[in-house]
Amino acid sequence: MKIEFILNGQPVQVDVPGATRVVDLLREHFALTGPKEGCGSGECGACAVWIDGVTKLSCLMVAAQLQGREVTTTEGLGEDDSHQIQQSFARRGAVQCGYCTPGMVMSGAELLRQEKNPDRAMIRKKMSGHLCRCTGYHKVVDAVEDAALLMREGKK
Amino acid sequence: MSYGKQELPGPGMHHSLHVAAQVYAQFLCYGNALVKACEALRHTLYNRAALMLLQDDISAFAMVPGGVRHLTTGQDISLAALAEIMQPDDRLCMGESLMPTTPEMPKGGEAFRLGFPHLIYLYGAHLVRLEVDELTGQITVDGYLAFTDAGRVLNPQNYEQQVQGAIAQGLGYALFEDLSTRDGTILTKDFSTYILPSSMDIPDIESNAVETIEHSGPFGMKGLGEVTLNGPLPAVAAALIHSGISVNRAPFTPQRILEALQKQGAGRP
Ligand code: FES
Ligand code: FES
Repeated sequence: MKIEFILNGQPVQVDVPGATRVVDLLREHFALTGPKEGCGSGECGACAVWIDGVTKLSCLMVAAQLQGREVTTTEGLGEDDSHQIQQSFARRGAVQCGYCTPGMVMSGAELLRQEKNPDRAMIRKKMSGHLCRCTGYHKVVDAVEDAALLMREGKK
Repeated sequence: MSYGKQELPGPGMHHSLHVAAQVYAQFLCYGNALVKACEALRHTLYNRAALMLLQDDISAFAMVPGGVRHLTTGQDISLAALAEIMQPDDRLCMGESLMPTTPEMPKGGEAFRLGFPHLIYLYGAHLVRLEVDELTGQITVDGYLAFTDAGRVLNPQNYEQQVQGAIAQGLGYALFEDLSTRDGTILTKDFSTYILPSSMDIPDIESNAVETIEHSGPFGMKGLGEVTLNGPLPAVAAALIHSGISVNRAPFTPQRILEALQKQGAGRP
């Protein structure tokens, strides 16, 4: 099945079985290893990507659903360099093994598009779909707060 | 008896302090061996640098970012240049370290019912603040404070990461995580049956380092990780008992809390 969509800003075309899972399509066909498969059943959030700017679980979507849509992964989040939230995650120690990070970053960036000054409770709520075994979430919340502050100050 | 989410009595709600000790022989062994291997590698680098600059005194060299400096002349040699003239064998450095758990094995060991003494201990004290919903049995953890003595702190951010991550795991162990098996098969195979804490279940965790210097450890460290994982379960249990909910089996699921509350219900106003 021929499918055309926009991937990280570039128009792409693939010919794959329509039932290919989006997480496999991204990782194996496009070598975008940002989205991770943690559970494969919509429970962990490690595979999150944006579809038309909304965070979705790529393990629960099939390639055919991408026709005409816009897909964004961590690799395409920043305009030229990395997105502020990615830098804040690194700087604030919100990454340990890093498995949950690409998914968290997608949700975090989505939140910051909608809310310029989120409080810690809002951030925790937004991140609640992403399981993390390593960080205890404290520094993840710090990182999103930090990114929000820097973005408000106009540091991109 | 009043229902609903309650702050139970006592200053700052009900809280509990738990003190844990933990040994870190493995980390010490590994860390000390790593330091020795690095020292051996540095020695080789100085030797090769001396050779390149036709110097004979390797004590005149020091490491600088990205290279080695000859202090007397101020000349730098990059690590890349040094690596080029090193044989593959030269690039491999080994160090080893042994760490007995006790200086002498006690005879018979009868006196040590809790196990043989170790040389190095870590210490932690945890304070947890939680609320119990008497209607549903749900526990909400509202605050967490940890003090940890893991020797010297080289990187405060990594230190906090270890403490906060381990406490979240410990709270999972106390509240949700329940591996169940039948006939050798795991029944809780996914995240919908084996419940990990999410960002909504873990509060902000305040970590304080009680910094000590462990002279036998690498750069004064003892190592950190498990000692903070051990604290949350007994701290939560003690908080529950402190507020009159007597539980003796973890995880403290809503069902178990409700059962405990019902059992005591008769005696309540
Ligand atoms: S892999 Fe998609 S939610 Fe876990
Ligand atoms: S950093 Fe390891 S799972 Fe989140």
